[in-house]
Amino acid sequence: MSRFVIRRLLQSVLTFFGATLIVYALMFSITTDPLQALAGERPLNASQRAQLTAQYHLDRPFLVQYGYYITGLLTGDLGRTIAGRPIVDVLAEAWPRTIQLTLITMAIVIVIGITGGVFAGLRRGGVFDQTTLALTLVVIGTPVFVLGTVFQTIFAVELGWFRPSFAPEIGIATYFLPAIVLGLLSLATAMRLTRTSVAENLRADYVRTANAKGLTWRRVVGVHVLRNSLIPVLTFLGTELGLLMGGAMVTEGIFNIPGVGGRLFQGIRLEDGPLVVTIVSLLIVVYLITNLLVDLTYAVLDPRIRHE
Amino acid sequence: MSSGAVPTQADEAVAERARSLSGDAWHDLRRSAVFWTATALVVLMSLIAAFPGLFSAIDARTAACSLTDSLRAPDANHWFGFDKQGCDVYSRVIYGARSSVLVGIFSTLITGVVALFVGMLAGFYGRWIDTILARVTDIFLGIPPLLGAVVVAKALSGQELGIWPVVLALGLLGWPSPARVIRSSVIAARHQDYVNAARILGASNGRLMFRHILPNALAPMVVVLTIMLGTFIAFEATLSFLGVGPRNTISWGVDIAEAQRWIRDASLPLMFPAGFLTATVLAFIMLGDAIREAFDPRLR
Amino acid sequence: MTGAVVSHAPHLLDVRDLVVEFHTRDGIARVINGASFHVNAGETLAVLGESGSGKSVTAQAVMGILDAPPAVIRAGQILYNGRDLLTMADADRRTVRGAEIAMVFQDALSALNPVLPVGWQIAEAMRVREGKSKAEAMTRAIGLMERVRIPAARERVRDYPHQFSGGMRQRVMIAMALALNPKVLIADEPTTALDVTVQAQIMDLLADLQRDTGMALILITHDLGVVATVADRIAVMYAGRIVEHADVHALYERPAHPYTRALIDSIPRQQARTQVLKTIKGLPPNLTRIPPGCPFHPRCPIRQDICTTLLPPSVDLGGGRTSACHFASEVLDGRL
Repeated sequence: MSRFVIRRLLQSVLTFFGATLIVYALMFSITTDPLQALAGERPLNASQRAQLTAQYHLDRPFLVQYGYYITGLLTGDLGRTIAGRPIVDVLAEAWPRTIQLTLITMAIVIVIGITGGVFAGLRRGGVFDQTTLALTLVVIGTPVFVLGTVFQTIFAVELGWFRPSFAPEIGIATYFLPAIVLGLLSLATAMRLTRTSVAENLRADYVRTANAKGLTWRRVVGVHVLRNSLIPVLTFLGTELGLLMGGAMVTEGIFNIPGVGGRLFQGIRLEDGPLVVTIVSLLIVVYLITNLLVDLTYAVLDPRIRHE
Repeated sequence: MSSGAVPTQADEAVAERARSLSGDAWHDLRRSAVFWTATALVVLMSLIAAFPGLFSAIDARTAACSLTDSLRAPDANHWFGFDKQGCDVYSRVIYGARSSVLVGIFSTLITGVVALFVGMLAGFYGRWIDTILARVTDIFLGIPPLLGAVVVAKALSGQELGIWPVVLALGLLGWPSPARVIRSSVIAARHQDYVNAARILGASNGRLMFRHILPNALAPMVVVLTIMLGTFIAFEATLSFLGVGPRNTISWGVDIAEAQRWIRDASLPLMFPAGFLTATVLAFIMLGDAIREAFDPRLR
Repeated sequence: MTGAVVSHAPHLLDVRDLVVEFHTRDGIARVINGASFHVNAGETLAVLGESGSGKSVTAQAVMGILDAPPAVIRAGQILYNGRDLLTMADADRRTVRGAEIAMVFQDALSALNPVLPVGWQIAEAMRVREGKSKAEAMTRAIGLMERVRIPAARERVRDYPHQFSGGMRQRVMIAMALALNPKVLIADEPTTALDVTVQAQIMDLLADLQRDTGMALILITHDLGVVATVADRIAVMYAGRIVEHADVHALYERPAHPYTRALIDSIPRQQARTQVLKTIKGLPPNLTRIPPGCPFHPRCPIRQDICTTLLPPSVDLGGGRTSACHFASEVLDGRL
């Protein structure tokens, strides 16, 4: 087990450096004028150029630049936005909002997604199953920004059930519609995954054995089938959590939520290079950590993995 | 003792109309309404993308938009009404199909080629080649896809490169998933006896890979790539929505982004491009799903 | 342990004229087409047949664990201690399952739940159905594991199925089946997936357990060799029917059905090393299109015209022997 953990840790470290290197390389080295890329579309004068060059060590070889960047990242020096604001401050403000949104979203996904999926899987081919399959397919096929804008139009503007934008004065309720939009895709996937997993496990040989022991159907499903079926679902949810923390960029953008995703969205709109790159790097870290935790959980849940 | 030959095994096998997995799959597909609907939609959208002039009298690329028509309701000549700029929504939707479909096709091609290459090498040769490629795959998978695409597209957006920054971004970041799928199929196929038999007969590695293993790894790959086509179209629209999509091209994403700002005044300029986009994405995803269900022996 | 003499006392388990159909996309398959057999306490009955003969389905029908669609039990009775299981309420049937009639399956790796420890799985029935405490059930589980000769049972009780070898896993399955002290144990191809030496060990184990507990054992298999040393009586199954039923020695020495004879003849023998192996020509019938008359007639070396039109009844040859062949006596005497 510990060998497994160490191996995964090393892999994660390697992936972290590899991924951040690529992002960094993309951002700064593909463009012919990295200074201009940093500043977006605003033209720069000579002194601005000099300052940026010094700040970002652009006169040094690429790997050295990367080295500075990574060291800064790892020591907590996240640099400043184009406007000069410390990125740490921006994030300290934004992250709690994203966390709140994420938690509500996960609650929706788990409650509706898993229970729905279990029912659909148990009654495979039934009306409930077919309906959920159709609906989830539509959800998966519709791009998030379409869902978001359409929901915003229908439920906030036309029907007035929700506020169309972030309204901190109504507290946590302001996250409800965005959470629904954000959660819809994960919910649909979770539901389908649960359904397939349950349906497959229902036909497994060990179910026949459990029946042969004279156990009630409730116990066979509740103890044996679920225990096996939920493993892939839980690992999927873990990964989703990592992605959600990262950024619901589009959703936060549509609903004007000043979370991490929202700031990223703004950063892209305002062409704030340093902010964008730093946030993306941090999101990679979050993603890797969640994946690592998910893999560890998988090993705990499925004893077969432990002994590889 | 009666005479009469006992039927041989060969006769009985022929008489049984033995069906292969592909035969069974095609039999199911033919009867699937989902398959035909999806295929029809795909064909329709491809035609719209290729020959927009057939579907719209107005050429959206050159049409003159008058602000006096801003957000006007639909009429006989302008079925979908007008957007904020006073442009005809219908023709913009028709002409917008091209960038979406083209991006989808090209990025899927790139992804497919890279994934095939990586997946086959990793699956076939195994050991240290596999380990290295697996680590590379991990690295690319570590980049959150939308964010990575945004960064690439943004990095390249300074120059006037049309749809290519987006295509490149999607191709660069999309290959890990299909590569993994192909790798598993190749590994599964590699251990089959028919591969060993061919190897003993002297087939070279290349021949083994392409003549023997590839056909069997094809089905899952087709499913994954079809679905990816759909998601890439969605991605392109999202990138356009975020402002980093292809420039100076008519695009559903851009139109939706623009229309979103004025939804309080008019919802049609949002709904129509959104509808077409969703229909196209869904068509590809449903198609891939239908093929997958047909080929899945476990669902019999 | 002598062969059962024809007796009129009720059997412990008595299956009569069972008919089971499967509704498939290619039509309705009569997987079991009028099968009858019985077993008493302390006896071992072997149900012998090729793949597709319906033997596993028979076992599952007796246990009541068939997938209800697509399977349909069309006719017949399954009498346990005189009560027909097929007409019982579900709840009552479930009481019988596991506690009175238990089953051991073929592939222990897939038949055991992979994510739960073996001790837990063995103890589950005792905890849930007998209300035993966790500790008590676990102690009993260890005892059962020792009884089926799993070494270091106390240490291994918390291990998972994939950590055991094939033979050990099969023993776990047997221990699990014995948990509630059943009166009848059905073993569905318990050794097919195992090596020959391990097969012998498992067979010995089953024989010993039967001796100790006095339970009835139904052994389902396609392997003539395995059956010879363990069974008291053999029921040969073909295309969903029992085509011959006899004491084990009588069956081997003088089969009374062409199919049984062909099976026995096809066993490779040492003396006949230079001769071509005898096989049975043809294939088992497609169960959606069973030929009229005797289902074996397309492959039968002594086929006559009557065989193609009339289904042979089960002929009583005396001494508990039956054979479903128009020419049973002739085959028995060696005249055909």
